[in-house]
Amino acid sequence: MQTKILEYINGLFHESYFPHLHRRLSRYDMIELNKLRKSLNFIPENICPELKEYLAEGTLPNYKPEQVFQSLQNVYKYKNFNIFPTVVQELISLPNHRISDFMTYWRHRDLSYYNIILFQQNINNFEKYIDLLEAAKAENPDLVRLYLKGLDVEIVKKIVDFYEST
Amino acid sequence: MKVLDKLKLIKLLNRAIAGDKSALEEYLSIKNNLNPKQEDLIEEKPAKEELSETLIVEQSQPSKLEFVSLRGEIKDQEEKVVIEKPKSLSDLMESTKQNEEQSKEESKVSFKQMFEEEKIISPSELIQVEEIKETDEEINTIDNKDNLIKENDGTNKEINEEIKNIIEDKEKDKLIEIILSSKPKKVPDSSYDKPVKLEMSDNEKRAIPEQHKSRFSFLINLISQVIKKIKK
Repeated sequence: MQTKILEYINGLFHESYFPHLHRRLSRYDMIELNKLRKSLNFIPENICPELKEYLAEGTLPNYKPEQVFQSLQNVYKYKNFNIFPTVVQELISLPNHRISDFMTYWRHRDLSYYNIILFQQNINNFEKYIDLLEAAKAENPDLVRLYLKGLDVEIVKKIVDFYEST
Repeated sequence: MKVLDKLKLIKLLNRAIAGDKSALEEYLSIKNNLNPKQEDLIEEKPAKEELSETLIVEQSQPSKLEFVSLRGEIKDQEEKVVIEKPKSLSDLMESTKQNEEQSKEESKVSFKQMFEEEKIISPSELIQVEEIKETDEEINTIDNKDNLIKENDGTNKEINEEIKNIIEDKEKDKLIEIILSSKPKKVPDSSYDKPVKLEMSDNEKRAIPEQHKSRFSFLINLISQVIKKIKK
Protein backbone atom coordinates (compact mmCIF):
# COMPACT_ATOMS: atom_id res chain seq x y z
CA MET A 1 0.00 0.00 0.00
CA GLN A 2 2.82 2.41 0.94
CA THR A 3 4.60 1.79 -2.39
CA LYS A 4 1.35 2.49 -4.23
CA ILE A 5 0.98 5.78 -2.36
CA LEU A 6 4.60 6.63 -3.23
CA GLU A 7 3.96 5.88 -6.93
CA TYR A 8 0.89 8.11 -6.84
CA ILE A 9 2.83 10.95 -5.22
CA ASN A 10 5.61 10.52 -7.77
CA GLY A 11 3.08 10.66 -10.60
CA LEU A 12 1.53 13.89 -9.26
CA PHE A 13 4.90 15.50 -8.58
CA HIS A 14 6.50 14.90 -12.00
CA GLU A 15 5.56 15.51 -15.62
CA SER A 16 4.32 12.44 -17.46
CA TYR A 17 6.19 13.18 -20.73
CA PHE A 18 9.53 13.73 -18.99
CA PRO A 19 9.68 12.40 -15.42
CA HIS A 20 12.73 14.56 -14.55
CA LEU A 21 10.58 17.68 -14.72
CA HIS A 22 8.41 18.78 -11.83
CA ARG A 23 4.80 19.66 -12.38
CA ARG A 24 3.26 23.02 -11.59
CA LEU A 25 0.73 22.08 -8.96
CA SER A 26 -2.80 23.41 -8.70
CA ARG A 27 -4.53 24.05 -5.33
CA TYR A 28 -6.43 20.78 -5.66
CA ASP A 29 -3.16 18.90 -6.42
CA MET A 30 -1.51 20.51 -3.41
CA ILE A 31 -4.30 19.37 -1.04
CA GLU A 32 -4.19 15.88 -2.50
CA LEU A 33 -0.40 15.68 -2.24
CA ASN A 34 -0.38 16.88 1.36
CA LYS A 35 -2.91 14.21 2.34
CA LEU A 36 -0.79 11.51 0.67
CA ARG A 37 2.44 12.80 2.20
CA LYS A 38 0.96 12.60 5.71
CA SER A 39 -0.22 9.05 5.04
CA LEU A 40 3.27 7.92 3.97
CA ASN A 41 5.25 6.28 6.77
CA PHE A 42 8.72 6.24 5.20
CA ILE A 43 10.95 8.29 2.90
CA PRO A 44 12.78 6.17 0.32
CA GLU A 45 16.40 6.97 -0.63
CA ASN A 46 16.40 6.23 -4.35
CA ILE A 47 13.99 8.96 -5.43
CA CYS A 48 14.33 12.44 -6.95
CA PRO A 49 16.04 14.84 -4.47
CA GLU A 50 13.27 17.46 -4.84
CA LEU A 51 10.58 14.86 -4.04
CA LYS A 52 12.62 13.63 -1.15
CA GLU A 53 12.86 17.19 0.19
CA TYR A 54 9.11 17.65 -0.25
CA LEU A 55 8.29 14.42 1.61
CA ALA A 56 10.68 15.36 4.42
CA GLU A 57 9.96 19.09 4.82
CA GLY A 58 6.93 19.80 2.66
CA THR A 59 8.80 22.41 0.52
CA LEU A 60 8.15 22.62 -3.20
CA PRO A 61 10.96 22.92 -5.79
CA ASN A 62 11.90 26.39 -7.14
CA TYR A 63 11.10 25.33 -10.74
CA LYS A 64 14.22 27.02 -12.12
CA PRO A 65 15.41 23.83 -13.91
CA GLU A 66 11.98 23.56 -15.51
CA GLN A 67 12.31 27.11 -16.81
CA VAL A 68 15.77 26.34 -18.24
CA PHE A 69 14.45 23.21 -19.88
CA GLN A 70 11.57 25.16 -21.38
CA SER A 71 14.02 27.77 -22.68
CA LEU A 72 16.19 25.08 -24.26
CA GLN A 73 13.13 23.64 -25.89
CA ASN A 74 12.01 27.05 -27.21
CA VAL A 75 15.45 27.68 -28.71
CA TYR A 76 15.26 24.33 -30.46
CA LYS A 77 11.64 24.79 -31.53
CA TYR A 78 11.84 28.36 -32.85
CA LYS A 79 15.53 28.17 -33.89
CA ASN A 80 16.22 31.41 -32.04
CA PHE A 81 19.83 31.14 -30.96
CA ASN A 82 20.17 34.76 -29.81
CA ILE A 83 19.29 33.80 -26.22
CA PHE A 84 21.07 30.44 -26.43
CA PRO A 85 24.32 31.50 -24.64
CA THR A 86 22.38 32.81 -21.65
CA VAL A 87 20.19 29.68 -21.55
CA VAL A 88 23.26 27.45 -21.51
CA GLN A 89 24.77 29.66 -18.81
CA GLU A 90 21.66 29.06 -16.71
CA LEU A 91 21.89 25.36 -17.44
CA ILE A 92 25.45 25.30 -16.09
CA SER A 93 24.29 27.01 -12.90
CA LEU A 94 21.81 24.18 -12.16
CA PRO A 95 22.60 21.27 -9.85
CA ASN A 96 24.69 18.52 -11.47
CA HIS A 97 21.96 15.88 -11.42
CA ARG A 98 19.60 18.21 -13.32
CA ILE A 99 22.25 19.00 -15.93
CA SER A 100 22.90 15.30 -16.55
CA ASP A 101 19.14 14.65 -16.76
CA PHE A 102 18.63 17.33 -19.37
CA MET A 103 21.70 16.38 -21.37
CA THR A 104 20.67 12.72 -21.55
CA TYR A 105 17.24 13.86 -22.72
CA TRP A 106 18.69 15.92 -25.58
CA ARG A 107 21.26 13.26 -26.47
CA HIS A 108 18.42 10.90 -27.27
CA ARG A 109 16.18 13.50 -28.86
CA ASP A 110 18.64 15.33 -31.17
CA LEU A 111 22.37 14.60 -31.19
CA SER A 112 23.29 17.78 -33.12
CA TYR A 113 21.57 20.02 -30.57
CA TYR A 114 23.18 18.04 -27.76
CA ASN A 115 26.61 18.62 -29.34
CA ILE A 116 25.89 22.30 -29.76
CA ILE A 117 24.90 22.58 -26.07
CA LEU A 118 28.11 20.84 -25.12
CA PHE A 119 30.13 23.12 -27.39
CA GLN A 120 28.47 26.20 -25.91
CA GLN A 121 29.19 24.94 -22.41
CA ASN A 122 32.89 24.90 -23.31
CA ILE A 123 32.87 28.11 -25.37
CA ASN A 124 35.70 29.58 -23.33
CA ASN A 125 37.90 26.62 -24.18
CA PHE A 126 36.28 25.48 -27.41
CA GLU A 127 39.48 24.60 -29.27
CA LYS A 128 39.55 21.35 -27.32
CA TYR A 129 35.92 20.59 -28.21
CA ILE A 130 35.79 21.71 -31.83
CA ASP A 131 35.01 18.10 -32.80
CA LEU A 132 31.62 18.61 -31.11
CA LEU A 133 30.89 21.32 -33.64
CA GLU A 134 32.08 19.04 -36.40
CA ALA A 135 29.76 16.27 -35.14
CA ALA A 136 26.84 18.69 -35.04
CA LYS A 137 27.77 19.94 -38.52
CA ALA A 138 27.67 16.36 -39.84
CA GLU A 139 24.26 15.78 -38.25
CA ASN A 140 22.53 19.09 -39.00
CA PRO A 141 24.52 21.92 -40.70
CA ASP A 142 21.53 24.29 -40.79
CA LEU A 143 21.22 24.10 -37.01
CA VAL A 144 24.95 24.85 -36.68
CA ARG A 145 24.57 27.84 -39.02
CA LEU A 146 21.74 29.21 -36.87
CA TYR A 147 23.76 28.61 -33.74
CA LEU A 148 26.83 30.40 -35.13
CA LYS A 149 24.66 33.36 -36.19
CA GLY A 150 23.59 33.76 -32.58
CA LEU A 151 27.18 34.04 -31.41
CA ASP A 152 29.27 37.22 -31.17
CA VAL A 153 31.41 38.09 -34.17
CA GLU A 154 34.58 37.89 -32.08
CA ILE A 155 33.84 34.27 -31.04
CA VAL A 156 33.02 33.31 -34.65
CA LYS A 157 36.35 34.85 -35.70
CA LYS A 158 38.13 32.76 -33.08
CA ILE A 159 36.39 29.60 -34.34
CA VAL A 160 37.36 30.45 -37.94
CA ASP A 161 41.00 30.57 -36.85
CA PHE A 162 40.78 26.80 -36.26
CA TYR A 163 39.52 26.15 -39.78
CA GLU A 164 41.46 25.98 -43.01
CA SER A 165 40.55 29.00 -45.08
CA THR A 166 39.75 27.93 -48.63
CA MET B 1 2.66 148.21 -83.55
CA LYS B 2 1.43 148.66 -87.02
CA VAL B 3 3.58 149.64 -90.04
CA LEU B 4 1.61 152.88 -90.51
CA ASP B 5 2.18 153.91 -86.92
CA LYS B 6 5.88 153.26 -87.28
CA LEU B 7 6.03 155.45 -90.43
CA LYS B 8 4.12 158.20 -88.60
CA LEU B 9 6.54 158.00 -85.71
CA ILE B 10 9.58 158.19 -88.02
CA LYS B 11 8.11 161.30 -89.72
CA LEU B 12 7.45 162.92 -86.38
CA LEU B 13 10.97 162.13 -85.23
CA ASN B 14 12.47 163.65 -88.36
CA ARG B 15 10.42 166.82 -87.80
CA ALA B 16 11.51 166.95 -84.18
CA ILE B 17 15.16 166.63 -85.19
CA ALA B 18 14.57 169.45 -87.65
CA GLY B 19 13.49 171.65 -84.70
CA ASP B 20 9.70 171.23 -84.50
CA LYS B 21 8.81 171.07 -80.79
CA SER B 22 5.16 170.16 -81.34
CA ALA B 23 6.25 167.15 -83.41
CA LEU B 24 8.52 166.08 -80.58
CA GLU B 25 5.71 166.28 -78.02
CA GLU B 26 3.42 164.30 -80.24
CA TYR B 27 6.11 161.69 -80.84
CA LEU B 28 6.64 161.25 -77.13
CA SER B 29 2.91 161.01 -76.39
CA ILE B 30 2.42 158.32 -79.03
CA LYS B 31 5.48 156.45 -77.86
CA ASN B 32 4.25 156.48 -74.28
CA ASN B 33 0.85 155.28 -75.27
CA LEU B 34 2.30 152.41 -77.26
CA ASN B 35 4.80 151.25 -74.50
CA PRO B 36 3.24 151.68 -71.05
CA LYS B 37 5.65 151.38 -68.08
CA GLN B 38 5.91 147.99 -66.36
CA GLU B 39 6.36 149.73 -63.03
CA ASP B 40 2.77 150.75 -63.15
CA LEU B 41 1.63 147.12 -63.43
CA ILE B 42 3.72 145.55 -60.62
CA GLU B 43 4.04 147.15 -57.28
CA GLU B 44 7.31 146.32 -55.69
CA LYS B 45 7.67 146.24 -51.97
CA PRO B 46 10.97 147.42 -50.44
CA ALA B 47 12.99 144.88 -48.47
CA LYS B 48 13.14 145.85 -44.87
CA GLU B 49 15.04 142.97 -43.38
CA GLU B 50 18.65 143.32 -42.46
CA LEU B 51 21.09 141.29 -44.50
CA SER B 52 23.46 138.99 -42.75
CA GLU B 53 27.19 138.72 -43.44
CA THR B 54 26.83 135.61 -45.52
CA LEU B 55 26.77 135.84 -49.24
CA ILE B 56 23.39 134.45 -49.77
CA VAL B 57 20.54 135.23 -47.53
CA GLU B 58 17.18 133.82 -47.87
CA GLN B 59 14.33 136.00 -47.03
CA SER B 60 10.93 134.68 -46.60
CA GLN B 61 8.76 137.68 -47.10
CA PRO B 62 5.18 136.82 -47.58
CA SER B 63 3.90 138.86 -50.49
CA LYS B 64 0.24 138.80 -51.21
CA LEU B 65 -0.48 138.81 -54.90
CA GLU B 66 -3.89 138.76 -56.23
CA PHE B 67 -4.44 136.88 -59.45
CA VAL B 68 -7.66 137.06 -61.22
CA SER B 69 -8.42 133.71 -62.63
CA LEU B 70 -10.63 133.00 -65.63
CA ARG B 71 -13.41 131.93 -63.32
CA GLY B 72 -13.24 135.18 -61.44
CA GLU B 73 -11.99 133.62 -58.23
CA ILE B 74 -9.31 135.17 -56.09
CA LYS B 75 -6.49 133.12 -54.77
CA ASP B 76 -3.99 134.08 -52.13
CA GLN B 77 -0.52 132.76 -52.51
CA GLU B 78 2.50 133.25 -50.38
CA GLU B 79 5.77 133.31 -52.18
CA LYS B 80 9.26 133.22 -50.94
CA VAL B 81 11.32 135.89 -52.49
CA VAL B 82 15.05 135.40 -52.64
CA ILE B 83 17.07 138.50 -52.91
CA GLU B 84 20.74 138.38 -53.65
CA LYS B 85 22.60 141.46 -52.78
CA PRO B 86 25.89 141.77 -54.65
CA LYS B 87 28.78 142.93 -52.50
CA SER B 88 31.81 144.94 -53.35
CA LEU B 89 34.97 143.34 -54.75
CA SER B 90 36.92 143.71 -51.51
CA ASP B 91 34.15 142.01 -49.58
CA LEU B 92 34.03 139.24 -52.11
CA MET B 93 37.77 138.71 -51.92
CA GLU B 94 37.69 138.58 -48.17
CA SER B 95 34.82 136.20 -48.20
CA THR B 96 36.57 133.88 -50.67
CA LYS B 97 39.73 133.92 -48.52
CA GLN B 98 37.73 133.11 -45.45
CA ASN B 99 36.04 130.30 -47.28
CA GLU B 100 39.31 128.81 -48.41
CA GLU B 101 40.73 128.98 -44.88
CA GLN B 102 37.62 127.38 -43.47
CA SER B 103 37.72 124.61 -46.01
CA LYS B 104 41.41 123.99 -45.25
CA GLU B 105 40.73 123.84 -41.55
CA GLU B 106 37.84 121.51 -42.10
CA SER B 107 39.93 119.25 -44.25
CA LYS B 108 42.68 119.24 -41.60
CA VAL B 109 40.26 118.46 -38.89
CA SER B 110 38.67 115.78 -40.89
CA PHE B 111 42.05 114.13 -41.60
CA LYS B 112 43.02 114.44 -37.96
CA GLN B 113 39.75 112.89 -36.97
CA MET B 114 40.31 110.16 -39.49
CA PHE B 115 43.76 109.42 -38.14
CA GLU B 116 42.48 109.47 -34.60
CA GLU B 117 39.53 107.26 -35.29
CA GLU B 118 41.10 104.82 -37.72
CA LYS B 119 44.70 104.06 -37.05
CA ILE B 120 46.98 103.21 -39.89
CA ILE B 121 47.15 99.40 -40.20
CA SER B 122 50.32 97.73 -41.38
CA PRO B 123 50.06 94.88 -43.92
CA SER B 124 51.16 92.32 -41.30
CA GLU B 125 48.40 93.51 -38.98
CA LEU B 126 45.98 93.31 -41.87
CA ILE B 127 46.96 89.69 -42.47
CA GLN B 128 46.54 88.93 -38.77
CA VAL B 129 43.14 90.54 -38.75
CA GLU B 130 42.13 88.54 -41.81
CA GLU B 131 43.40 85.36 -40.21
CA ILE B 132 41.46 86.08 -37.04
CA LYS B 133 38.34 86.74 -39.10
CA GLU B 134 38.87 83.50 -40.98
CA THR B 135 39.39 81.55 -37.78
CA ASP B 136 36.30 83.15 -36.30
CA GLU B 137 34.34 82.12 -39.35
CA GLU B 138 35.77 78.61 -39.12
CA ILE B 139 34.90 78.42 -35.43
CA ASN B 140 31.38 79.61 -36.22
CA THR B 141 31.01 77.02 -38.96
CA ILE B 142 32.41 74.31 -36.67
CA ASP B 143 30.05 75.40 -33.90
CA ASN B 144 27.17 75.24 -36.32
CA LYS B 145 28.22 71.78 -37.41
CA ASP B 146 28.58 70.73 -33.79
CA ASN B 147 25.10 72.01 -33.08
CA LEU B 148 23.77 70.17 -36.08
CA ILE B 149 25.55 67.03 -34.94
CA LYS B 150 24.17 67.46 -31.42
CA GLU B 151 20.69 67.95 -32.79
CA ASN B 152 20.92 64.86 -34.93
CA ASP B 153 22.93 62.95 -32.38
CA GLY B 154 20.20 60.47 -31.43
CA THR B 155 19.22 59.67 -34.99
CA ASN B 156 22.86 59.44 -36.08
CA LYS B 157 23.61 56.98 -33.31
CA GLU B 158 20.70 54.80 -34.28
CA ILE B 159 21.74 54.86 -37.93
CA ASN B 160 25.35 54.08 -37.02
CA GLU B 161 24.25 51.14 -34.88
CA GLU B 162 22.09 49.81 -37.69
CA ILE B 163 24.97 50.15 -40.15
CA LYS B 164 27.31 48.43 -37.68
CA ASN B 165 24.88 45.57 -37.23
CA ILE B 166 24.49 45.13 -40.98
CA ILE B 167 28.28 45.08 -41.46
CA GLU B 168 28.72 42.63 -38.58
CA ASP B 169 26.01 40.34 -39.94
CA LYS B 170 27.62 40.30 -43.37
CA GLU B 171 31.03 39.58 -41.88
CA LYS B 172 29.55 36.87 -39.67
CA ASP B 173 27.81 35.22 -42.63
CA LYS B 174 31.11 35.02 -44.49
CA LEU B 175 32.85 33.49 -41.47
CA ILE B 176 30.02 30.98 -40.94
CA GLU B 177 30.27 29.88 -44.57
CA ILE B 178 34.00 29.29 -44.05
CA ILE B 179 33.29 27.18 -40.94
CA LEU B 180 30.60 25.15 -42.68
CA SER B 181 32.46 24.63 -45.94
CA SER B 182 35.94 23.87 -44.62
CA LYS B 183 37.44 21.37 -42.21
CA PRO B 184 39.30 22.17 -39.04
CA LYS B 185 43.08 22.44 -39.33
CA LYS B 186 43.68 19.80 -36.73
CA VAL B 187 40.82 18.31 -34.81
CA PRO B 188 41.99 18.19 -31.25
CA ASP B 189 40.81 15.25 -29.18
CA SER B 190 38.17 16.22 -26.70
CA SER B 191 38.95 15.46 -23.12
CA TYR B 192 35.75 13.59 -22.27
CA ASP B 193 36.66 10.46 -24.33
CA LYS B 194 40.30 11.23 -24.96
CA PRO B 195 42.50 8.12 -24.69
CA VAL B 196 45.07 8.62 -22.00
CA LYS B 197 48.56 7.60 -22.92
CA LEU B 198 50.04 5.43 -20.24
CA GLU B 199 53.74 5.99 -20.03
CA MET B 200 55.74 3.94 -17.53
CA SER B 201 58.19 5.75 -15.38
CA ASP B 202 61.51 4.19 -14.31
CA ASN B 203 60.17 3.29 -10.89
CA GLU B 204 57.18 1.60 -12.48
CA LYS B 205 59.49 -0.36 -14.78
CA ARG B 206 61.55 -1.47 -11.79
CA ALA B 207 58.35 -2.48 -10.04
CA ILE B 208 57.55 -5.08 -12.68
CA PRO B 209 57.17 -8.47 -10.94
CA GLU B 210 60.29 -10.63 -10.67
CA GLN B 211 58.71 -13.59 -12.42
CA HIS B 212 58.41 -11.62 -15.66
CA LYS B 213 62.02 -10.47 -15.31
CA SER B 214 63.32 -13.97 -14.70
CA ARG B 215 61.50 -15.41 -17.67
CA PHE B 216 62.79 -12.67 -19.86
CA SER B 217 66.38 -13.00 -18.65
CA PHE B 218 66.17 -16.82 -18.92
CA LEU B 219 65.26 -16.57 -22.59
CA ILE B 220 68.04 -14.05 -23.28
CA ASN B 221 70.56 -16.27 -21.51
CA LEU B 222 69.45 -19.28 -23.52
CA ILE B 223 69.77 -17.44 -26.84
CA SER B 224 73.19 -16.07 -25.94
CA GLN B 225 74.46 -19.55 -24.92
CA VAL B 226 73.23 -21.07 -28.19
CA ILE B 227 74.99 -18.37 -30.20
CA LYS B 228 78.25 -18.94 -28.30
CA LYS B 229 78.16 -22.71 -28.95
CA ILE B 230 77.53 -22.15 -32.65
CA LYS B 231 80.52 -19.81 -32.83
CA LYS B 232 82.82 -22.35 -31.16
